[in-house]
Formats: sequence, C-alpha cells, structure tokens
Amino acid sequence: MMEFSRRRLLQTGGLVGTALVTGGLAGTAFSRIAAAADDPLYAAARKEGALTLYWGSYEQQTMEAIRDAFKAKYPGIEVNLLRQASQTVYTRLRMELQSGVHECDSLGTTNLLHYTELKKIGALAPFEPVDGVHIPDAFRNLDPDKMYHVGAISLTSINYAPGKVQSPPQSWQALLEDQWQGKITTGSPAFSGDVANWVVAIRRKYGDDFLRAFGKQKPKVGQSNVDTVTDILAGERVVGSGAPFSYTLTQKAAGNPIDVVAPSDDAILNLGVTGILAKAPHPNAARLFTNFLYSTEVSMILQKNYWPTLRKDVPWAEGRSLDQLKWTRNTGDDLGPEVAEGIAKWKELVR
Amino acid sequence: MGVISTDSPDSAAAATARPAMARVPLARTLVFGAVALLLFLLVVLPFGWVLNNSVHDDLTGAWTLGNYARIFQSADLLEPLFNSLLLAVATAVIAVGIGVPLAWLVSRTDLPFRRTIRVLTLTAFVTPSFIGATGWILLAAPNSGWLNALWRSLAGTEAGPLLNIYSMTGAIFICGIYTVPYSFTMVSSALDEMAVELEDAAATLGSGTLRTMLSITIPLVTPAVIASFILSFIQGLTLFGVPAFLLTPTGIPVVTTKLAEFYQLFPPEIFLAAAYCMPLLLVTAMLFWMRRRILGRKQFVTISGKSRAGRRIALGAARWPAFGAALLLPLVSVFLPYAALLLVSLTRAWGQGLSWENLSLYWYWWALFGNSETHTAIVNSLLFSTLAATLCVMLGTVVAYIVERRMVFGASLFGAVATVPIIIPGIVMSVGFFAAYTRAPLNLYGTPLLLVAAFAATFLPIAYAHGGSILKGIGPELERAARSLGAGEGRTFLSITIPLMGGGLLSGWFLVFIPIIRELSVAVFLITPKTNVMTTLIYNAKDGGNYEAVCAMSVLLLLITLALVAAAGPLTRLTTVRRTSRKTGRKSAPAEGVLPT
Amino acid sequence: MSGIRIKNLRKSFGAYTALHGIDLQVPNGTLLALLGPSGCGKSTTLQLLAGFEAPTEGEIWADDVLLSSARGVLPPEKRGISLVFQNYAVWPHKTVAENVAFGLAIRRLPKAEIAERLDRTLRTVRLEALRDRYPSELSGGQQQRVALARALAVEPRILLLDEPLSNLDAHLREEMRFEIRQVHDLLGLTTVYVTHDQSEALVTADRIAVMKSGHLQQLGSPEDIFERPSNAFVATFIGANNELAGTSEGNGAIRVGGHVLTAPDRSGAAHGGTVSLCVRPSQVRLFGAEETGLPAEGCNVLSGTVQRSAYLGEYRDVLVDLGGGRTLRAFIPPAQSFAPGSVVTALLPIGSCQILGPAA
Repeated sequence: MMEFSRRRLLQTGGLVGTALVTGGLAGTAFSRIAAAADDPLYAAARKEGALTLYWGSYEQQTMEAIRDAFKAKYPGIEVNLLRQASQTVYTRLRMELQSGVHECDSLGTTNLLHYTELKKIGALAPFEPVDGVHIPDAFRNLDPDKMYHVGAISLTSINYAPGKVQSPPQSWQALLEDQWQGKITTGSPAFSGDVANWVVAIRRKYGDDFLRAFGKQKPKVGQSNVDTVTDILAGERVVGSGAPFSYTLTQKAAGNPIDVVAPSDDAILNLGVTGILAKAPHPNAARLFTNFLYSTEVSMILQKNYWPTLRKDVPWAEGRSLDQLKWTRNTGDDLGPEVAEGIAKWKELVR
Repeated sequence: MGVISTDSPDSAAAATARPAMARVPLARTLVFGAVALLLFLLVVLPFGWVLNNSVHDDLTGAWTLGNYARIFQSADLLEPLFNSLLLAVATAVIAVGIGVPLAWLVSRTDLPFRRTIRVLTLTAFVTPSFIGATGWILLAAPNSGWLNALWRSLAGTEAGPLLNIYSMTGAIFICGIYTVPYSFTMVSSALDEMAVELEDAAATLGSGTLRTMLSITIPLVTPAVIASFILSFIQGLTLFGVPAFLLTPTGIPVVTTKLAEFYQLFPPEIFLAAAYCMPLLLVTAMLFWMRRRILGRKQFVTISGKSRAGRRIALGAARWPAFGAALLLPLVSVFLPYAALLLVSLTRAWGQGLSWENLSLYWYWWALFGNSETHTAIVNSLLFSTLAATLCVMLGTVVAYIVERRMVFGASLFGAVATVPIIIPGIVMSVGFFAAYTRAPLNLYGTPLLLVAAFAATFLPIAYAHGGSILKGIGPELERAARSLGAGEGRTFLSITIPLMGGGLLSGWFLVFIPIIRELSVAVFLITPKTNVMTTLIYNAKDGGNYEAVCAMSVLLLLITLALVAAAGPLTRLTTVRRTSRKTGRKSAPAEGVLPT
Repeated sequence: MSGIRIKNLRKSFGAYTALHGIDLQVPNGTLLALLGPSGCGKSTTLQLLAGFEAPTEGEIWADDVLLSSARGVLPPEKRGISLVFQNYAVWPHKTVAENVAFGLAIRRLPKAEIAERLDRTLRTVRLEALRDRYPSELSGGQQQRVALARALAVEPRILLLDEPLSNLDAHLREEMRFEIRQVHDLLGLTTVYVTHDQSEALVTADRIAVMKSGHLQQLGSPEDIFERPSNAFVATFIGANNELAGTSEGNGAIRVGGHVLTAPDRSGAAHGGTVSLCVRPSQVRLFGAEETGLPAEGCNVLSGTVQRSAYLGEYRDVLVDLGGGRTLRAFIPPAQSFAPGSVVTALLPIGSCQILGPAA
C-alpha cells in the first residue's frame, strides 16, 4: 500500500525538486538504500554509527514507526529512542546539560518554549534540512536562525460520542449551552500542555468569562487531554473539550464510537518542535534524522496514524488538510507567563 | 564496697590493660564499612542532592530558603499537604484494619483455602495501584461504571449512582485495598513465627478465640503492625496514580499531583518540588518517633526456641463465614477490577462494548510481539527487579540486624538513613539520583546499575522495616548461644539468624520485588532507550490513551509476576525452617525426666 | 579450665549503675552461685563474663588472660566460655544433634571427632535417643538438657548458667539441680551459676556470692553464708531469719526498743550505729508466760503475744508480736502449742544471735 501510494505521489510530480539531494524517494528499497549510500550526510552519520532521540511528540506507536522507517532507510545507524512525556524529556535534558552529560542528538517536544530557552543558553545547533521546503508555509522558518523546526502538528478540538449525541457542539461557544451541563470531559491545563495551550487561546478569544461559564458546566477534569477519549468511550461523559484531534481519529479508526468536530471558532493548533543539540554526540545522524522527518515516508506514517503531515504534498488521513480547517495558534514572546496565568485562572474559575 | 571482697588479682596488671584480641576484627570493619558505604551511595548522596536542590532557586540557581517560605505561605500549597495526610491516615487505617485480621486468619487459624487467600492477596500487591484505579473507574465511575449500570438496572434509571469512585472516599478505598498486602505480608510473617503457647496461655484462662486474638496475638506482633501502619501511611502519601486518576477530576489536590504539576510547569520547578517533599519527611519522622515511644517500653521477643509451630486455632462454625470475609479483599482488589481490565484487554476497540465481533487477542499479540521494545522491557524489568530486590533485602536485613542488636554506636542512625528514601516521592528521588550519578567519579548514567541502585534504594525502607520486625521476634539469646559456642558475628548471623528469619526473608524479597517491578516514577529520569522497563511502556501506552494495550500489558505483568510467585512456592517450603522431624511425629512426645540421679 | 578473677567491675547503663565495683574470684574448678534478688546485678555480671557487654570500669581475667576491661572486650566467641540460657535458646531449626554439634563444627574438628564428642556429650545428658528430634518435639527439661549439652560439647574452660532451672516445674527443677552438680563433679568445670533461688544455690554451689543492688554482699561457702552472714540482708535472703532492727550499744550489745540484747557483734558498727539482731526462727524457743524456771542462761529474753500459729507437720511456725511493730518468728516443736493471743516468753540463745550491719 505504501509503496503504491508513494509511486502515485511521485507520479504527481510534486517532489521532483528534492530528489536531487536526498535521493531517498526512488521506487524500490534497494535503490533507496543505494541512493542513500551516496548521500554524504548519510556517510558521515554512518561513521557516527548511532543516534539518540529524546522525543515527546507523537505517541509510542507512531514514534516507533518513524524510527523503524529511518533504520530501514539508513542501515548501519543504531537508533536509541527515548520516548517520554515532553516535559519529562525536557526536564531530563536540562539536567543533563547542567551535569555536562551529552547523550541526546535530537530533541522533539510539544512546547516551543523549550527551544527558545535552549537557544538562549546556546544549547542548539543550527541546521537547515533540505526537505524543509515541503513544510507547510505557515510553519516554515520557525526560527530565523534555523535552530529549531516544526516536529509535529497537533490540533485541539471537540470530540463526542456519535451514538449518544445527535448534534454535537460545533464551536467552543456552543459548549456553554445548557444541554452540555454535566456532559463535558476535559484535561487539566496543569497536567497537559495542549490543554494549557487551549486555555491561553480561549482566554485570548473570549476572556475569563468563558472559563467562568465553562466552570459552571461542571466538566469532569482529567489530566491529559487523552482522558477525554477515555471518558467518552467509557460512557462517563459524551462531549470532550480541549480534545486531541489526531488521537480521537485513531480511536475512531480502530472502531470505537467517537468522532471529532473542528470548532467553527478555530481549532487550536500547537506545534511540536525539534532541534539538534549543539553538543550532540552524533550531529550528522541528527541532521540526517531531522531531514528525514520531512521526507514523504514520515508524512505517510503520520497520515496512517491520523496525524497532520509535515509536508504540503502529503494529505492527511481521510483527505483532510490544514486548509479545510479554521485554526489558530498562540504566538508571542510572552507565552510562558500567559500559560501560568491561564492555569491560575483555570483553578480559580473552573475548579 | 563489697563487705567481703576477694584478694584483688595481681594488682600489677595495668589498670588500662586491653584484652589481647579485643581489637575490632577486620571482617567486622569491612562489613560495617560496606554497609555504611552502600547506605551513603544509595541514600545519603541522592538524598543530599534533593536536600541541596530544595534550598536553591529554580530560576536563578541561587541559594535560597524561598521554596520553603512559599510552601508555608501559600494556601494553594498547604491544602494538598492536608489532603495527602488525610489520604495517608485513612489508607493506613484501612490497610491495618483489613490486613491484620486477614493475616491472623491465614497464619493462625484453620481457615479454608488459606494458601489461595495468600496468593490472591499477593495478586492485589502485584497490581500497580493506577491499574487498580483504572479497573475501578470502569466499575464505579458515576455514569458509566458497570456496577452503577447494574444498580440502575435494579433500582431504575432515575436512581443516582450507587458508587462514585471520583471522590476522596473512592481514592481512600483504592489506596487502602492495594496497600493491604503490605500489612498482610508483614503481619502474617510475624505471626507465622510466633509461639502458640502464648495463645494457649490465654485460652486456658478462659479467653475466647476472638478475645485472644485481640488481646494477645495482635499485641504480640505490635512491631509488625506498627511497621505496616507506617508503610501504609507512606504509601498513601506517595502514591501518584490513584489521586491523579480519582482526585484530579474532583479538584482535590494532593502532594503528588501537585508535584507532577511542578514538573509540568515551564520552566519546571524541580527545586520547589524537592522542598515540597520535606514536610512529608517530617511527618513520617514523627511517626517513627512515636513508634519508638510505643515499642520502647515493651519487649517483643517471641521466638525463644520453644515454639511449637504447626497447630492452628479452630474457628469452628465461624470457619466458612470467615472464609467469605477473607474473600472480600481479593474480590474488590483482584476479581472485580481484573475482570474489567481483562474484558477491555480482550476487545479490539473497547468503546464498542462487548460483542463477539469485538473480541480479540490482538492487544496481547501487540504487547508481546507488535511492540519492538516489549521484549527488552520485560527482560529488563525482571532482571533489574531481581537484582534490586536482592540487593535491597540483603542490605535492609543487615541494617535491620545492626540496628536491632545495636551492634555499633549510632546504629539507629543507620536505620534512620535506610528509612528516608520511601518518603521522598519517586520523581523527586529520581532527580536526586540523576544529580548524584551523572558526574565524576561516579558517572553511572545510562547504565543498568543506576536503575538497580535507585530501585533498591527506593524500597530499602520496606526491606529494612520488614527485616526489623522479623528480628524483633527472634530472641537475641539464640544468637548469643552461638556466640558463646565460638561462632563469630558473621557466622552467627548466617547460620542462626538467617535460617530463623527463613520464610520471612523470602516474603520480604517479594515485598520489595513486586513494588520494584511496578515502580515507575523513580526510573523516570534514569531509564535510557537500552534500559527501558515495562512500566515505562505501560505508562506510555496510558499516556497515548491506548487503554486496550494498558490493560493487556497489565494483565501480562500480573501473569508474569504470579508465575514467579508460584515458582517461588516450592522455594518457600525449602527455605521455611523445618520445625518438626519427619520421622518422629509430635504424637510420640516423650515422658519428661528420663534421667535417674 | 581456668579460674576467674573479677576486679572492681563496674557497669553503668546511662545514669543507672547496675554494678558498683565487684571483686570476685572463682578458683579453677569451682562452682560459684551468683545469688540475689532480681535487679541485683547478677545477670549483668554474667553478660559481662560472657562478653556480651563491655564493663564501664574494671577487669575480668581468666587465669592470666584479660577477657574484658573498659578498653575492650574479647568477643564472646573467643572466650571459651559457654552459656546456658534461662529460656534454653535451643535453635528451633536444628535437631538435637545439630544443636549440640554446632560448636564442634565451628571449631572445624575432624568429622570423626565431632561424632565422637557429640555421642559422648549426648550420653552425658542422656539424650542419645532424641538426637534427631527438633526442639519443638521436646519437653522443657529435655530442651534444657540440649542447651546444657550444647554448652558442654565444646569443652569450654568456663561454663555460665543463667537461671537454668527457673522455667522448669518444681519436680524437674529439684532433679536437675542434682544433675547439674553431677555434671560439674564429672567434668570439673569452672562454673558460674546465676540464680535467685537460695536453695538451688545451697545445693549446687561450692561457693556463693550474694549480691544486692549492684554490690557484692558476701562471698563464701554455703555454710559461711548460712551460718555467718556478713549482714542482715544476707541473713534474711538465705533461709528464714528474724531481723530486729536497733542501734549499737557497743561491746556486743544492741538496743531494740526498750531492751538491750547481747550477741556476737559482727557489724563493725560504732556505738549508736544502725544494726540488727539476727536469729534463725529454728533457734528461738518459746515458753508460756506462766512457766517458770526457764533455761534463760545465755539467752536473750523477750516477751510477746502470739499473733498466729501454723502447723507444718515437722514443726510449728509461730509469729510473736513483740510490740512496737516488731515481730519474731519461731519454729517450735509440733508438740508445743500456743493459741493466738496467748502471752509467751521467747528465748534467743546468745550463741545463735548475731549483730549485723545493713546491706552494703
């Protein structure tokens, strides 16, 4: 299936420009390896022989698929994947840096602030992935100094139980209707970065009044935004707010009675970010991996796992795309304090 | 001032003379040195870093007492402390209230299916409490819980929920039932060693069975009861999964969920988190102080070489009702939640509910073969847990011995040190270990050794407390007899004390092995891609919302551990001290006073 | 085998002093009983002898080997001193034979020798038939013999017995007393026997050391202790005794209430010092108040009222109220009889009386 779709994609001709450098997109596995072997970056990476990823973006299953694809494409490089929650990964990395330990080559977490902070202390190395040209325009050149790049796109939306809800709320505002009282489940901004991001966006849009009204709806507050799916599948609640778009679709695809609504007043988009460590023990392997992220292979894996792809030319699962959605993203230099304020307001107004 | 004193022996002997061989032998120095060194490496060093962290500012890294000031000035930080205390006290009360009578029934009476009850209780122990909480969410969530659904089908759809697991009561219930195995195991191994005559004495005075249990048997194992109370209390303080699942939805913060928030903040408030653990340490220190006060005045030496083990108290007509009561704990802690977990793990997509089409072994296949990391993780989990539990029990037992027999000056300091780690929640201890072992000359970062050390250290208090409560039941004169016959301290310990501790040591091993195999948080900053363990995978699956996988892996973890426990069965019989010879039954107890004079 | 010399042995536990400087000598081959009420320091002395405690001051020697001093203690396993415990401390996880052979195995003796000595020891205490039993299958007396055999098998130079009979029933206790003495006679071991039972001490010991409150009161042969107690405490602790408190009048005289009595003065007290007149009840003779021509020559004469009288077959135990809160016990021939309330005259032969000081 994958081979087929790749060929089809090749035929569409959207990829021609990049084949020159990576040479990674020829049809068969054999020619792929052969072509990859000519790549000087691969040669350098192979000399390093290993790659250590500290990744919090994407769940275990997707991340392992990406790793395995990388290993298949670039044999001879041992890949050590440490997949833990983003904040854990970041905390560990900071401690390692303080102790002068340099294990990590490539960091991938769901919080842009991690990278602005790491950049400030000179812990990141600049790199411009050649395949970065395929990244959707809105997320290209995240950092003018090329210290970090988009690693994942995650959408926060509304999910619901189709069997129990005839017409699901179509917007964040609609969640405040009386009919949803006692029916909503959500994550906690204190535990989940995505939910915190949602709180910031909602406050920017509607102010604290929204939180106040939301609190009156008596939502069940779990930890992670994934808990919304759990509650809906279990039947504990029927509508999820601040819910994970991709994960809900995965569960739907698995056969579970659940679906998403992209709210008309904007899905909240959060960027997962990735960067290469300045003192990475395997800098070339890290570069190779970063470039690989923007390959068609990876985007196909993302598509298969219901994640937004990282390439303009690879559509999302079920034919969705960024263009079809109304979305917004929290930007600004002062996001840190704003998140803290959002959490404080949440605690005051919601519970 | 003796009225009549004998002639002083040669007064020429110098008043300051020193016995020729009284100098401290090399072996003794080595052993104490090794114990002190291990305690230093496993506890003092990492804890020192935690302490050091607690007095530094997260942002600037400058020295400060500000973290402590913040804790005591902010209601937001004080409330979780009180909630945690409530949870801990209630957990300990439940654990002791259920565990002690259960231990008595299993260890002292002719309860039917005693061994089964023992195994089932261990099964509850194997269950990570967050798994248990998950099972109970399936059972008793107010709207969707199966038990509530059952209730509504009986009482009508308009009826409110019968049970609400999302409450303090629910959290206490879950923490309590999954902590019972601690009190059960500790108290039952003390009871197993107790002399029957002490109960007989009460019975002959006309005391009924129940009365004897309450006024003789249980008080005699007070050290074990108190130790298990304290351990259960600490469990209630330091559990993260249960309050995170059950209390967060109702907005009740506790210390551990608050700690998780500190780590979740940007930038993470690691140093504040370190300071936030210190009140827990203080409370627990008070508990240990009270324990000393309570135990200090009484003597609890029960084995004195005269025990007539083997006879059991007849429950009579109460036998089957008692069995029913003893089954309650396994029912709520194993059967019900695992039935729920098993059903979920056997569905392809659990949201579809139960149907034949939805039935699948896919997630087991996935957990065992589909996930490339599972194999390494299972091997790692078993290997690290075995090594860590062994190290932990060895060290804990030796420390307990040194403390109980007051072998060196300041022995109780050893005990205090061995008790510290369990009070510090795993994630904070993890940072301490990280800080201690990522720098020269002890750079162990990334090695399995570091994980083994961290696991061993975390559960050292259990091994120590358990060892201590067994030793309290072994009269020191049994050891002194060996000493006076020419056995050195080491030989005495190995050939008298250890065999007498016998089965208790093995149960102690499981008492630490099982929590180690299900421990997650202390590993969080120490695991590497090559040293990954089962719980990390389970947690990642949970993190990714993959409940079928979580359930399947939990069931697997349970089966693996149970298989181990079962394999240990014959081992138990081997190591449990034989107290009756096979050839001569007790029936032929010979007449007394055979000797003519 | 060796003699024991204890020099100025002191032991304090914090503020509490259990032993106030004891000096003792146990000649080679002697059986010494350490006798005293509980808390007198006898068990502490034993623990110090065995090497489980370090003295605060003083020394313990076995012949010319220094065992303990405040500067160090030869560890128990190096002392060649065997100890038999009050509660036997027989290891429940070893059979009788394993218990007894333990010390021999420690000494890495050749197998044949272990077997031989094991057999011999078991024979000595007559446990051959029970060698494969576990302690839980033995009676108390048998367990005690296992403990004894275990201690003897290693052929210690000194044997310590800590109240070895107190957990046995009365019948067995009496029997075991003789047995222990018998074993001692057989092996000739220097033995220290701790007991609070004076009759046990009298029966078994060559020498008795009476202790009280951490002080040695008297050291001597059973006869010395019984007949020539060094103070009123010893006199009262060993056997039945009358102790009439008073003040010294000097020159073998004591003032008790309104009476001045005479007796051999062994108190060493100055005129006016606190002393007691001690006399065994068996030496006291009673006569009815109306009787005349009493053999009062060489006797102290007192009168009083019979408070109670008990018939004990071989004698009558009569308690006489002397007034002023003093009483006097007399064991009189059963043929004599006094009803309570009758007035009697008591004769105390001067030769049987002693003026003694208080306990040290």
